[in-house]
Amino acid sequence: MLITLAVAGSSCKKTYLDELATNPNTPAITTPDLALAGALKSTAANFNGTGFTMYAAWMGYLSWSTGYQPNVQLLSYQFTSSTYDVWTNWYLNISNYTAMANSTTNPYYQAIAKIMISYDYESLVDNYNNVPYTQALQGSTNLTPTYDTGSSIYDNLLTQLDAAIALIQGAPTGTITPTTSDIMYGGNMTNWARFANTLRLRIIMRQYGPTGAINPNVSSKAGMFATELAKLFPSGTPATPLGFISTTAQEGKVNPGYANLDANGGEQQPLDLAYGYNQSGAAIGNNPTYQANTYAVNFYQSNSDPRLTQIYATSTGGAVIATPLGQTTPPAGTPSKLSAFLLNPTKAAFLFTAAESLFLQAEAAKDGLITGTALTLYDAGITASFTDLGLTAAQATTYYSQAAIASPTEQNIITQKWAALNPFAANEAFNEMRRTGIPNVPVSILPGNTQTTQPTRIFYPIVEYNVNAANVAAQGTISETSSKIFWAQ
Amino acid sequence: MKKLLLVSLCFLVLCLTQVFAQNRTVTGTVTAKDDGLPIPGVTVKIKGTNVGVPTDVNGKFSISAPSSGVLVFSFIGYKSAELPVPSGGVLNVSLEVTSSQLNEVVVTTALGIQKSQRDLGYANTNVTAKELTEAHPTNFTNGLTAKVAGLVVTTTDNGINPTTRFTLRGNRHITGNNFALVVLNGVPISPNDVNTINPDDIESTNVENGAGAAALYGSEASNGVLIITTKKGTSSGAPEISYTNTFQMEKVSYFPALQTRFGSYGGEGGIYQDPVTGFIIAPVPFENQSYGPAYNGALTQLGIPLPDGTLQKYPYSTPAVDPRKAFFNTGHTEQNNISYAFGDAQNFFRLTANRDDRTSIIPGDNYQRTIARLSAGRTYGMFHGEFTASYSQSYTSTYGGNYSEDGNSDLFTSLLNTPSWVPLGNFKNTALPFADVNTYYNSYDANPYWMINNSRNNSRSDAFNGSFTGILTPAKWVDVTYRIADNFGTSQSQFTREEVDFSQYAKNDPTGGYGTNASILNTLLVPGQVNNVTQFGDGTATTGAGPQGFSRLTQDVIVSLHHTFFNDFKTNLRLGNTIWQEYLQQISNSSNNLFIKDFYNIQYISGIPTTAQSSEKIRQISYFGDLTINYKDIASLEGTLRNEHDSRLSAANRSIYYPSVNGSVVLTNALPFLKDNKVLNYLKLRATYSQVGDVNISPYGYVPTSYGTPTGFPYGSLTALSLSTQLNNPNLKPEITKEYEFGFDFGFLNDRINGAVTYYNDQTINQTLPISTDPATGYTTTIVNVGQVSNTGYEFRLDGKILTKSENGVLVDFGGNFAIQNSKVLSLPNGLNSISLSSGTPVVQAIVGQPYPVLVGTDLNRDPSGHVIVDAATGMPSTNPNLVNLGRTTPKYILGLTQNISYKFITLTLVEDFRTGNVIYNASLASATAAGSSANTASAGRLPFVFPNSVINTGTAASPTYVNNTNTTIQDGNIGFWDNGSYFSVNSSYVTSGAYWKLREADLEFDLTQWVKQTKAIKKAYFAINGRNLLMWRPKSNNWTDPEFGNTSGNATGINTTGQLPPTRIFGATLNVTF
Repeated sequence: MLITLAVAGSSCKKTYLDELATNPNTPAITTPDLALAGALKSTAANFNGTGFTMYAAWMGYLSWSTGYQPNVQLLSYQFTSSTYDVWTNWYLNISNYTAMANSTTNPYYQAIAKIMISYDYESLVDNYNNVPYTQALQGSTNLTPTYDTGSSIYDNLLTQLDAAIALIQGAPTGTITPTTSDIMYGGNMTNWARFANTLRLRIIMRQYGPTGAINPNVSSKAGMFATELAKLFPSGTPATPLGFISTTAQEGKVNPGYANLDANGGEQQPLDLAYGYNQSGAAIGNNPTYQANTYAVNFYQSNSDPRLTQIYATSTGGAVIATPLGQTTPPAGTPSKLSAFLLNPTKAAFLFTAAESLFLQAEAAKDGLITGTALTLYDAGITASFTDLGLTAAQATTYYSQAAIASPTEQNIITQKWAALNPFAANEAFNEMRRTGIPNVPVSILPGNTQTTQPTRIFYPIVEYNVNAANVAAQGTISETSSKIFWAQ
Repeated sequence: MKKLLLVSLCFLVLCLTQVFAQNRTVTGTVTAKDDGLPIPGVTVKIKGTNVGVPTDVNGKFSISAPSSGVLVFSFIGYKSAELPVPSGGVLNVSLEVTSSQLNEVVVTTALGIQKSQRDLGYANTNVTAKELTEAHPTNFTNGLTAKVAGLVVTTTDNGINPTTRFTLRGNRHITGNNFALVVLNGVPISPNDVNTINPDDIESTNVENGAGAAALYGSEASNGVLIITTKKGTSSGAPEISYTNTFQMEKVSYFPALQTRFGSYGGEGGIYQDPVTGFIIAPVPFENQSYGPAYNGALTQLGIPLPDGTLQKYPYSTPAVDPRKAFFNTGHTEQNNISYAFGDAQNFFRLTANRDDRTSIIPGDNYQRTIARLSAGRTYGMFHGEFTASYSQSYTSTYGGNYSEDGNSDLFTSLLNTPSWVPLGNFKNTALPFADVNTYYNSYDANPYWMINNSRNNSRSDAFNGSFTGILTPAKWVDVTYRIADNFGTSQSQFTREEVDFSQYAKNDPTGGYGTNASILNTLLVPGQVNNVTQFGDGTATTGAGPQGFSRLTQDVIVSLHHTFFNDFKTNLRLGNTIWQEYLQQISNSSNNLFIKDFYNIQYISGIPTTAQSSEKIRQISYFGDLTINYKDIASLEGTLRNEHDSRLSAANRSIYYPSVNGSVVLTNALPFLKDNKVLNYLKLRATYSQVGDVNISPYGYVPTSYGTPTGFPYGSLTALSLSTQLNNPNLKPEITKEYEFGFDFGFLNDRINGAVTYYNDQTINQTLPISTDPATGYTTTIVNVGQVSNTGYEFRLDGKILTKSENGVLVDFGGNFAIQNSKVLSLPNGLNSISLSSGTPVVQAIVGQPYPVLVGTDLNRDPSGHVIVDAATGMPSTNPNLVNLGRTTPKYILGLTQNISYKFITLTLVEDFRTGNVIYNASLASATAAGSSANTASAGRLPFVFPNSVINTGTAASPTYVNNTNTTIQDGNIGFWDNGSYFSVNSSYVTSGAYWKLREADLEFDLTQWVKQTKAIKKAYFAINGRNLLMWRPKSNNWTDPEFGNTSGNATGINTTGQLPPTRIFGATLNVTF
């Protein structure tokens, strides 16, 4: 008794309590490599996962399963601020890239952080227009960040990407590159620079309309765009143009070692987790509730496009069976899901495909914004898409030789981009549709749906109205049918 | 402290040299003055010593006392007598009944300190063993229901092993722990441990409602305290063996109101819909929803054909007994309790064993619990030691989930998704065609019998609870108490789900495109699943929440110094130190890829298992002092101060002081004109102020950043970390409850009518709140110390002994208690207007200016007077885009009544309670409405109808004019209204009043003692028939379930789900024999 009391009463007290200051359950620090692998994997999961399923439905890739009660939020466009949230995951992802940047001074990691943060912010602007940027990610220092305009964020992203490329190009000899933790490029910093450069092109092109003219909302930026476009092929040091992602070897795709295992919340690639099957082959995620959409299936079929069966599973008799969005009666035969090729659990997850990059370049070249031949780039884009879907260049050639497809018109470039993004980059397809109006996907046929046009945007998530009410209120009333992202038509 | 102890040790040595005078033996009989009958059990003590004996059954005693000594005779309810040792050695004493028994009752207060009720400055209610176990509940907190003003015991769920939530004076903490502190024999235990205590072992439960009464427990004091003292032994010197058997049955009492007029149809497709009338003209045989055509009795196909084309057909009508009700069994509970006790004035010994075997209303669910307790005490001169230890072991087996994609669909959901013409009872053998996984009629849900047979949660809980108390009394002015207590246990649980083998036939979707379980899952095989969890803690499977789940080792050292100054001022100074440590460790592994059918071992899986490990440790060191001054049985004043150091707080914030002061004046003793008043015999005024805390911070919660393994990792050897989404706050402090209470206790007509009135006012500041943050900050949550909740209220107790037995053999006792509990959220952090305690809608929230907690959810658009606005063309209501406050979820008025009527050997005891002022959200009703099985969906015969009490806006949107809607009907009175559209989707459609009256307990007891006594072997015996939750009255609007049920025992009360079974009634019989 006396001894224990003495222990308590003496200086041991401090130790007795302080030795519980270390949390045995979660570490308090990270390393750049641990942070990089985790953050890249999350980016891939966000982009390829279930977060953008509504766009896949609205863009004609997928339909709501006829075996389920209609989902009126999706099929009658009656969604609210509680329905869709891509905000949270992107900001948390940015927070992890920031943590990586804070854990090291290595310029390569710093550059990767800037590039990926820009990638995430671009998606935030494309979904929500004005979002917190300059006041974001300050933790308890600023719990209610004000919003920056989408346009000003876009401008700053270009600066950030410039800085990232400068960091890569200016890194001292011997700077350690990430290796296995860089699950996108394995430490190939040239590819990282290409990724950044292509992202710059996308940010600029997003502000041009289908005719190649600058969106009237940002026409004051004409001078800046001229400068920025010139920078895409730097004439100074290094002399070699940086270039864009132009081959499937250079495209941005993430693979931490995806495997067909259910452990740890699922080790399958994100598209498989979102629409596919678990380790034992049972349907998981959105698989039961989504099936092939007639709009996309008809497009591929009418153009004899061999990508059809690489994207969708064939049903009884080898056909792809699809329904239009909003149909409630089942079709004859079992409706098709996504193909085993796309849902291969070990397949890498795309963040930026070569096809998308090449179509961007084709459009920019067509409009004379960059040098290059639009047709060559356009054909290369189709070929890249075929390659990524396990088809041959010869099949691509046959395909793009068809008269209706052959010419790199705006209509064809964006339509082919849409056809190439199915379904893993539905967000990007939705962005391009809002920028160019292409393709003109029909709205849901659900009885009772009164909306005749595609939504123009989703609402800010409910959490903003709950915890950052004044700043979200300053953005005015958001309308899902008329509020537009600043670059949209 | 250390010095003080050394000093007292010196005294100890000195006092050993005590000199004893010459002794003589005194014998005699103690009788009662009013009736002259002998009184057994009177304590006869030599004044100034601990030496004493009790009187035997005939009131006789024999004691060896110094010839110059004085004997003190004391017994509860009688005035003590002090008489000198007579020279003749014979002393007959008659004791006088005290004017007030309330004066004399000794109760156990904080830290096991015994005090006379007269001296308490705060409200307390002492519940005796008899009152507690009248209706033989298996969990003692159920036995407290309706018996204490201000104590709200809620059975959140009536499953096989029901959990209770018990709060005093409402909810003071928004996210913190609101459970009353449970103190067993002087030491706090986890609230989960109430189920490991044998109710028959409890001698008394002293309920102290306020924070002030518990202030010596510092950061554990804010919710009031239930102080449990276990039985010790006999004091007569004779051994006593008591055996009790209770057998009770449990039946569903109030089944939710379901419709039995319409059969299967689910809304997909249009082929079954009559194009002209819109009516459904043919049932869909494999459908889980009941939106089909009206029953017509015709033989109708159910489900899909077998592969060979065989069909099953049943009459398209509801059988005489609704198959969904017939699904439930009668549950049984058998309790066997045996105790052996003996002892005398110095020593005691008690050994008990309790066995509880239960089966549930759900086929296959069962529970077994065994509890053994040993208590012993001994006095050696100046040293007194006590020891008690109990060991509890329980096994629980309950049904698990099914094989659907999420695996979560529960049994009650399956039943609600069964159209009433489906003869469920035919599908018990899940190996047979039409009952198996391939050809069970329901395309979207599993056969509930499959869940019972093939998916189980089996758990075992072992809990040990023990304490040792040693008291050293080296001199009459000092004693030193040392107490060490430990409660710990393990909880092991295993969830298993059998492998499912689908046939190719089922996978090919014989429904023609609507899908079957197999075709939707698109697989032939769903491998078996196993989930093992082992936890070291308090023996329960709870993790995380507040103080629950932790094992606990506590040590108290208390030095008590007492002295009487100037003859009239009795003072007692207690100085003490408490050190405790709580610890919890959990390890789990799981896989849903077992590769051997029916072999549930984590080593036999394909792929890798999911594993987790966590351990948490909390330590606290505190010092306290307690000074009590009593003046002549008239006034009493107590001040306490505790200084506490807690490991959950960062070093800078760690030292916290918790003071309290309370006082009382017995006016009937103080004021001359009230003394010996025949009408008002007792009147005491009391007041308390205290400031105590609640460390609502998880262990290690002040470490600012932390990282975890992101989903999916590790991929082979590739590892990663991601930042926690919670922004930890290193500056957190305990929540502080400042409470004052005033009250008075009174007794009229020699306490025939007595009662108490208390007013309290609690202000709890520094609410520790994990607020959502804008994800743009980089985090989704953080924790802040802002916010204030106010709890005020009144507590009333009134007991009346209308007739006492001594007069004419009839005893009539009435007891009642009533509480009004107000609460109000005064402020929240960062100008926030509300904090959510649950997710989704409806959501349980704390809202500034509102009671806490309230239910917030979606509602229909209404006119200013609350009528639903419907569309002039379609008759359909519309959804209000804003969330609406739907009402408070905790009762405001709580009434408890007891009646005790006894004639000769028969006693009838009834306990009722009434609660009102709250609302509940019936999520299970929403689920049944979606399924088309609830009675409300057929209230208009599935025909177009005028929405009741609705209005139509005949003005403009800007300047509306509302006129009563008398003839605009809802176009589709079937699935289009009930399973689609606003009425179906808004939360308010499923919100009902939470009010109820319950006949909580009834016990009719026959005292058989007068007959069995002749056997000599048997001392006492009784037989009783008893029941619990026998009757319930609810407002008409609630035809669904017991408003007491909820989906959580946490703070987010007010929502019940399909996880809660229909309410049940328990009734049975008890036989007790005492040898």
